[in-house]
Amino acid sequence: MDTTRGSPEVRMDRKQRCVKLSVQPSRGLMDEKFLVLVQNVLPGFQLTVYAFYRCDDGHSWEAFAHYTANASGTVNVSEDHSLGGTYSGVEPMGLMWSLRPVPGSKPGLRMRKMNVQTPMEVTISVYRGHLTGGFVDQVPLAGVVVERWYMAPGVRRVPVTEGGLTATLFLPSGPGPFPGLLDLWGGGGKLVEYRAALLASHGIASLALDYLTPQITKETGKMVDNRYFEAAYRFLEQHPQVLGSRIGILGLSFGTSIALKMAVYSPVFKLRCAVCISGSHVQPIEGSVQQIMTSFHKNADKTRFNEEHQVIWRDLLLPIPTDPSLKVEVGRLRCPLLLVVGEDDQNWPAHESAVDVSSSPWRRPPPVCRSPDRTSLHAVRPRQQLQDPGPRPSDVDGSVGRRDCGTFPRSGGRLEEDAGLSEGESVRRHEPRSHFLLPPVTRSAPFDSGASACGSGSTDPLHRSSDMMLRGHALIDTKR
Amino acid sequence: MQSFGAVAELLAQTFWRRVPNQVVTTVTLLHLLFTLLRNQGPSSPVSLLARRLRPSSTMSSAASPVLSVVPSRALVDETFRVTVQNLPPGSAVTLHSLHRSEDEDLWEAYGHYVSDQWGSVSVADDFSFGGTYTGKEAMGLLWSMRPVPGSCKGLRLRKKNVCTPQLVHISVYDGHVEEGFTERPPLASVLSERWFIGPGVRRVEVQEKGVRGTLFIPPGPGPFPGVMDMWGGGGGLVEYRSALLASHGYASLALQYFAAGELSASKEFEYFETAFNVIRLHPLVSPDRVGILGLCLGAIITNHLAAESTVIKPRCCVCVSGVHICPRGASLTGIYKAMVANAHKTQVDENNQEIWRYRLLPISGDLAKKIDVGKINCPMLLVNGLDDQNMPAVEAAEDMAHMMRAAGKDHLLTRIEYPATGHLIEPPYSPHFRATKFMKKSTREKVILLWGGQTKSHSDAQEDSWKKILAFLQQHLYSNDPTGAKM
Repeated sequence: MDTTRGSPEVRMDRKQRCVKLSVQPSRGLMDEKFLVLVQNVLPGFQLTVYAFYRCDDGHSWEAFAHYTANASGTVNVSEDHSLGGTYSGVEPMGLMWSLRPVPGSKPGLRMRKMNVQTPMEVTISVYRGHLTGGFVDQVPLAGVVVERWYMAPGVRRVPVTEGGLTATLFLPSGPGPFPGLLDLWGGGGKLVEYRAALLASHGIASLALDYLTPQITKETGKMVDNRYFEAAYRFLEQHPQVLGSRIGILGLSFGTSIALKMAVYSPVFKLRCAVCISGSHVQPIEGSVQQIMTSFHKNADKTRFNEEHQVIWRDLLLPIPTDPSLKVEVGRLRCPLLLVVGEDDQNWPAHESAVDVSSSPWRRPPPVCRSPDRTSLHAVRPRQQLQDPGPRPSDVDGSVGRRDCGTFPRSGGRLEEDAGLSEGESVRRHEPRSHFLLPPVTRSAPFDSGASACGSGSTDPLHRSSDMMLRGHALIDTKR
Repeated sequence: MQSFGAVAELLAQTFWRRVPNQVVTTVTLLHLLFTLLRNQGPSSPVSLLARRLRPSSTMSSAASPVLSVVPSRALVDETFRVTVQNLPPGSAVTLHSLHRSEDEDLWEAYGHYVSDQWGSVSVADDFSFGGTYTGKEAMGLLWSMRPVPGSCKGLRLRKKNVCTPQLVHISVYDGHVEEGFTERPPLASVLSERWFIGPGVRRVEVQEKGVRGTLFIPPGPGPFPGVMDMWGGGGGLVEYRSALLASHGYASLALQYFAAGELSASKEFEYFETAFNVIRLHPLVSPDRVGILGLCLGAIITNHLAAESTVIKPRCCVCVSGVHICPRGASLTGIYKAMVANAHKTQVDENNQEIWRYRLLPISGDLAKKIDVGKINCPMLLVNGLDDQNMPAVEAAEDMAHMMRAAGKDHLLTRIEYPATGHLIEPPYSPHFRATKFMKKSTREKVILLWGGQTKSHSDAQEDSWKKILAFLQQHLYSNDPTGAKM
């Protein structure tokens, strides 16, 4: 934001009308909506609303949309149609979820907030006319700064190293005790905190666990085994501010493999519910992390490339085997399971796996979870690719070169009814706050461009997913 | 504090359910332990102790109520939604707010609720049946705050450092509690941040051409409309309203007054004109879109400048709890002297609190004793409380309307008067102060001044008037409506 004493162009404009731009609230959590209002322009005035964000590692991201003011000289982003830009149509949060690297950025970028103790500071500006580029060369008519937080006030961040863990616990504010959640990301490794921070902001004590690149693996060169996950579970279970009988697990991509493995086979894990995003149950039964990785790697010859030479790994597990010894026996699960998949997932065959899971016979049928309007939250349509690249054999054994599995600009779609697993009241009964208001990481973390997987080009967002979330379903906001 | 609460609750549930005195003793002992070892990790002695005392999993499987305050970070004039879920249906609970001020005073508010058949309470939608507020009051936990029992008398809550938020702890307690909140563990608690300053607003200390104050500039390239913001006779430099105005898009100068006698009469008038020009000529300010907002003494100065200045032309003015009664041509010092001269007209109420409104009554017909408001040429918004015990603001507004009508200027005047509302009409949701400590400038004597107002009505007036003030400023400083007609 310019803090100098105004350019000549600004001083000449000082007598002209003052455009009023407001974003409310100016400080919000990442999963909260805001209202962008432009006022005091001429009726029918063409303008561009522009969002700019410089992330912690110095890369610049932008989004923009074209609007025409109404008869009162007002543009309301929540109600008016964007006529073009990085999103179109009526999109209250389009300026966030359609953020992409500015032209000239290096390819394959991904936005992930690693420091959750500071907010994302997004500058939202208004420009004259319908611009598609050259924003830095223009003086905007108005601009405001918006803070987007992963951590609500009072949430406590506690680094955890006991028991050899590399983890961070986020405790909600208040005396507790709180339900607990083990939060597992995917094959990219590292200790990724933002989803756990946001869950804690909604009342769930969440433990973000690094299980691929923890300190112990760095020191010994060995991947962790079941005892590591059981130690993480016990840490939560025994924590004085966690309700030991109300622990859930959430895994994305490779994190799904771990979550299902532990949920079904570990005698230590007593889970209240499990959420698996963009993952598969196809893996050696009771295999260790190393063994699962190796099994994926065995099919590395099934790797495909698109026309931009981006890596597609979804075929590594296809076709879904019929031999039950090659898949986690999901039917043995004794808690509700929510699967969230994208049908355009090019990184992992999550959809095919979900279909296979829901068609498997259940030894004891899980509690029926139906939303009030009987909609199930199984598949997301039409084309949805969530983030996280999935397992990365390259990073573990170094035998393959630099991986390019990324994720892709999400295309959207409407949530589809499916007869499979559904979410709703009965899941809510299992956790007091069972609607995991999971980060629209998708909102804040637009996908890499130039990454491995392809998606289709549709830009319809997932309105229904947000609505479901608001009605208390344990649904991830799959907007991005 | 949170660990203490959790363990205390566990103890109460498992061992000492029927022996509250032992709970108190044990709780006090544990509180001491936890206070000493507060920031220990899970392997600390305290946590290990907590784990050993942990009841069986069946006992601990009862889930806590879930309290949420949305948004958790907000500007002070934004509303929030406070909800509780996961309570037993039909259970009595108390919602409580607690704030420790910069002066280390504790302020609190509370409301008594009963959960519905789904075990939920929504402050915005449900009735409070008792406490510091009753009825359906979404923001009652803020505006009905008062000093906790045992506090000094006459306290006032004003934020000095606007760069940090006001932290308010919102908690839910079991049962309909009326006191002793800090001595019992809540069922749940969240922290809410209330900000006077939006992200990106720039704070600039001003010492220019003899003018002292703080300028708050909105984020963005500008240019912005400007506001000169003046407070009352209490003096000092009060920044929070300017910070809030900047958060709404106005470059706002919180002006510090000079000391009485520091300047000559003509220089005093010039001081305010110079201050206005400091804003007007700022490169990020639109020079023909600058207004003035004044409260109490600040409102008198506003009237004076609007009527008499040949140097500055405010685009519009807002006068809150002010008057036009001022010896013509008088300086600030002159106003103080006139007030002191009428000190014998001060009354006191049954609590020995001083009522100053009669010092300026009756309103004279002598034009030499009043600002000639018939000369004003810009839109004026007057905001007053009908229970103002400090200034006869409503009587003055009536007289001003009469004078402006006689001069053919009444189309410029908008008057808003609120019943049961006192003198200190502040930004919304701040607590109401019916009477507070005040140091008299002339004698340095500390008294308790009665400002007036009944809490509920006064708070409604603060909320409504702020919206109207912002709408007025937007109409006259942002919009291009050339007529500047009455709001």
